[in-house]
Amino acid sequence: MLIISNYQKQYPGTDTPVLSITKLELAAGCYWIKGENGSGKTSLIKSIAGLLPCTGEIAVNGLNIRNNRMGYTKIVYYAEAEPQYPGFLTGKELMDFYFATKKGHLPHKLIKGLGVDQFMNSKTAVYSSGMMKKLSLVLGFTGNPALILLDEPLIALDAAAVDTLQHTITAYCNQGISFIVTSHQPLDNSIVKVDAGFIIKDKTLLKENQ
Amino acid sequence: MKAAWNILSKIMVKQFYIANAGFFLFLFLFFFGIVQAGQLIWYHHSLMLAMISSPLFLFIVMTAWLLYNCKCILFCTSVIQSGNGGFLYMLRALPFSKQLLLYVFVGTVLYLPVLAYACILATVAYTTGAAIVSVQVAAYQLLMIIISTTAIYSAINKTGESAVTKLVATLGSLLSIRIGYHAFLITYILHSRKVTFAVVKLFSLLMLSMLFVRNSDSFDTDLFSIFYPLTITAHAALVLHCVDFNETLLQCNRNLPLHWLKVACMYLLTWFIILLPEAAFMLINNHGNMPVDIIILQSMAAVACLLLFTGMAYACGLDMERYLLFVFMVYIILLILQKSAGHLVTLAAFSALALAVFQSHYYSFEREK
Repeated sequence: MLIISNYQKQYPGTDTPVLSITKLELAAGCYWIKGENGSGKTSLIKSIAGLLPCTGEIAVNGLNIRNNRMGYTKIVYYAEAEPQYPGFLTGKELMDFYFATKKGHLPHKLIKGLGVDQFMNSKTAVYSSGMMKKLSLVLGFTGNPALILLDEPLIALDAAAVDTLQHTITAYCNQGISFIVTSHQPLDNSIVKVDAGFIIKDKTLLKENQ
Repeated sequence: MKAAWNILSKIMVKQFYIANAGFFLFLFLFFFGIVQAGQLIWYHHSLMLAMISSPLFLFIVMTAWLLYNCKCILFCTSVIQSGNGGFLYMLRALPFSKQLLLYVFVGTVLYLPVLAYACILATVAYTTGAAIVSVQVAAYQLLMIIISTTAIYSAINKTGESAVTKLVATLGSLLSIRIGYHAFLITYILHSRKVTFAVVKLFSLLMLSMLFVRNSDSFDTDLFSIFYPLTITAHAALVLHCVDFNETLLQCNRNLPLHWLKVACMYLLTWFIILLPEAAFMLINNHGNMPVDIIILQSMAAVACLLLFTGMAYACGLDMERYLLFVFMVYIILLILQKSAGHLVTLAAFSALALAVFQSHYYSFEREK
């Protein structure tokens, strides 16, 4: 499903890369990436999402981010850790925009389950951090994904929303959609079956039992 | 009473005018900026005479006034219903007459821009013998103030929504414009960069006034070719703000299947709209000093120039110093190119360069730390 080769991420004005991955191949499934603050989890996930430029090759289901960016971004989705949106837009306007570009379908169950339908017609300027997070998750599931990248999906969510999200992840996994999740909080393994865990240590990605 | 007025003027009146500064600036430029100063009174007098003589035109104008009044009422009711305005329910303790007086003040001050124009219209109508139109206009203004006063009174005193508030809210939702992708940047400028926008436009129109209005009898093409690019260069500040916005609050767009050309088109459309007042000003105040096709070519080159600034903002990772250096270099190149190669070549060269720079730097953009 995901192939990463010769990946390296170095920020401008810095001497050393924050993360290097020589080769990584992941089959379809749910994966959990752990690591200390600043270890490079978000950099990796943003690189896979196409938000950050990097060296090396990243491909999902045979679509390379460099050679076929449009096709790649149609199947790789991302929900950020601390979402920010323009205050003058409503959640509905953002959802319509994502839906128009990604096509596919709106995650109606998740919208209802997280209660986003209650506030989506208000401007994001009045959203709390929890509401922003819920909107970001809905946007991350909007369309027709093959891989969903969730950066710290559990922070700022209430208990009911955490439960809804975990059940949604399981339901999507059962449909063959893959997940890469970075989280300091563990997912409930009675709901979500994690296929493998990874840890970022010494600026590289290691499988957890290595 | 004075204390209550102080609070209301700060929380409603002042905030309304701050929040809508961009809207008022746009209206001001639209009504007063594009007409030559000497013809301003004549222009508005003619407009008013047209309103007086044409019932359809007057109806359209009155509808616009109603919409503006709805905007004012919606602002007041949203303040009252917001968390910050919760304490305003204390005003219920005031006697009915004092409350009414307060809300008449608020409604009138918010409605003042329309009221002032309407008063002049009523006077012109009366002096030209159209007494009925004059009374109609005056009565309509009274009705508008009664509506706004009732809506504010109801919002503060009723626990449920009043019929007027519901009507206004329904009107507001019917009239609310959905913001699509191509309007994101222009909305951002008018919403969050009002002051920068106002300063740039004032500078720009001041420059053009000097060239086209003050020196219309002795129009100097050489001066124009120096100062017009300068007004375009002043817009570089807006470009930087927009790229910063797009790469901060809309950074997730990079995870969407948006082709770079579509993103470039969003910028292009924004710069086209932003530069419309300058183009309109030059065309209206030209008086044969410059061929119209040259003005159109110049305006198109200006849009291409702003797209080039956009590409450069990406190329230098939003680093202000490098960006300003690039902008200065572009200004010099623009001066030289226009003088030596002509307007069409300048337009073609800037368009090609702008697209090339944008295409090569958009996906590899990374903010300088």
